[in-house]
Amino acid sequence: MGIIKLCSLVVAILASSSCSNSPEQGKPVRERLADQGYLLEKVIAETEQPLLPLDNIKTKYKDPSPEPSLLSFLRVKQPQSPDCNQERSCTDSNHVDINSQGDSDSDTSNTDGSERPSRIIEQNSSYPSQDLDLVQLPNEDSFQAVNKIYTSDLEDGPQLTQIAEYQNVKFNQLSSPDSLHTINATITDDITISGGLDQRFKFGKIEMIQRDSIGSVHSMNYAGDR
Amino acid sequence: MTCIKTLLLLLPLMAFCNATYADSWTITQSTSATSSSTTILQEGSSAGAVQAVNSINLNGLNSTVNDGSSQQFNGGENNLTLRQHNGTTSSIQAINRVYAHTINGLTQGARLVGGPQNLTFDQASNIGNSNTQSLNDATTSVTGTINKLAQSVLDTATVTMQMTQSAGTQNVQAGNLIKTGELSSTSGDVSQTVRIGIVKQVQSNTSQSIQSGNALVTLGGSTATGGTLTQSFEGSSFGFLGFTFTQTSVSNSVQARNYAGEAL
Repeated sequence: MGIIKLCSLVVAILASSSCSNSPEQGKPVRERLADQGYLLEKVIAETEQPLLPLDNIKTKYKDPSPEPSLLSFLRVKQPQSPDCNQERSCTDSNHVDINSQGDSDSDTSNTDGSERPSRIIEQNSSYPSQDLDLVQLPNEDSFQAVNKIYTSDLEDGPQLTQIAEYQNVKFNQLSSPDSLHTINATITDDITISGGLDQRFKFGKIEMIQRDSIGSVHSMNYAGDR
Repeated sequence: MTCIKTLLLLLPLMAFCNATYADSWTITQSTSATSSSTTILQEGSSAGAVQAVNSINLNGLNSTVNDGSSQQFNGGENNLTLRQHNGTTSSIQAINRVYAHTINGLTQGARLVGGPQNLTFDQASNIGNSNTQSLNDATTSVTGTINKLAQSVLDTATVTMQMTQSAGTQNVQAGNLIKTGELSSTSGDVSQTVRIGIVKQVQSNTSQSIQSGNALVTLGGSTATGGTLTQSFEGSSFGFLGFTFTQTSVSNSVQARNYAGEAL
């Protein structure tokens, strides 16, 4: 992801600085890229240089699409340990309020506005003595999970851990075509990202039914495409 | 002119950016049932659906499951039942399932330990066509490769495999299932092991269906590269009516301990 987005950014910078004769040309680079959906976190390029050394650019891509980002569902506490620094962000347990009525994204929000995790993420939803109802009722193209990570929000090479434990689990996907229903989910749509993933789920008793759900995935641990 | 020069400068960069980058993952997935029997149901109009305990589903063009990956299910001292029925078509039900282009090293294990547990596969009446049901399912895209894989079903006391269907065709039921066009040529790199107590296999009213403890279903027809596979089916009670086959009113269907070949 990093390489492609970096390249996209450089292309955007160069193309906009060299090929445009519009009034946009007079705008600073930051403003013009912001108009295109890019958010420059640390940009050295407040200049109009046509070519920039790649290692001088550090960017953060703000996806203009309405797809939920990692920030939308992780409650991040950081730094947590000496291992956490700018290059190795950490997260604490992912506390998720499960809506059993089939919300498309039953997630909680990142409440502290902290940085996006980049390298090491651990989501832990272990409640060995508690029950869980995770039921996807009539929906279409929906996604419900306890722990959820989109690798497209991460730098290349992440080390990810997702852990969940409950006692009695009701885990049903009912009349939900083209949907994804999971306990632990890591979405790897961005094929430029590679890494490590550890998913663990333990339960006492489970009811697991997939009914009338054409083209859907129903899985306790899931790593793959959306 | 400046624009043209800049675009010329950008061409190599754009080509670099358009290069294909594989997603390559080392994944460990584990699931444990601690206190009760488990029944997993797939039913109704579920065409093209996937239901699994542990599932890896990477892209079929250039993805890689790295060596060191594993999928494990520990059912403890409990029963486990997989059931597909009532209209399900072209769907997959598995305990551990992986789909990728290349599998460089994966261990898939399903285990029930301790007491006299029952493991039941059931593709029941009114099921549709082209479904698969297995404990361990490793599938690649047609051009994909499995370089290292170990599938095992261990220590289950009694296994019942039932395909009692009314009109289903091209259904597959297996303890360990591999679907690919190319395996490693080195002996021992890819293996399927079933080690259990008693097995009962029942197949009735099926057409073009496969029911087997271990199964390799080759992809790609005559273009498949092939490879080397070790299949092992061991039972502790086979000498005392521990293994029974029953096949009734079927058409072009297979019942076996170990199967390797094309889909029927």
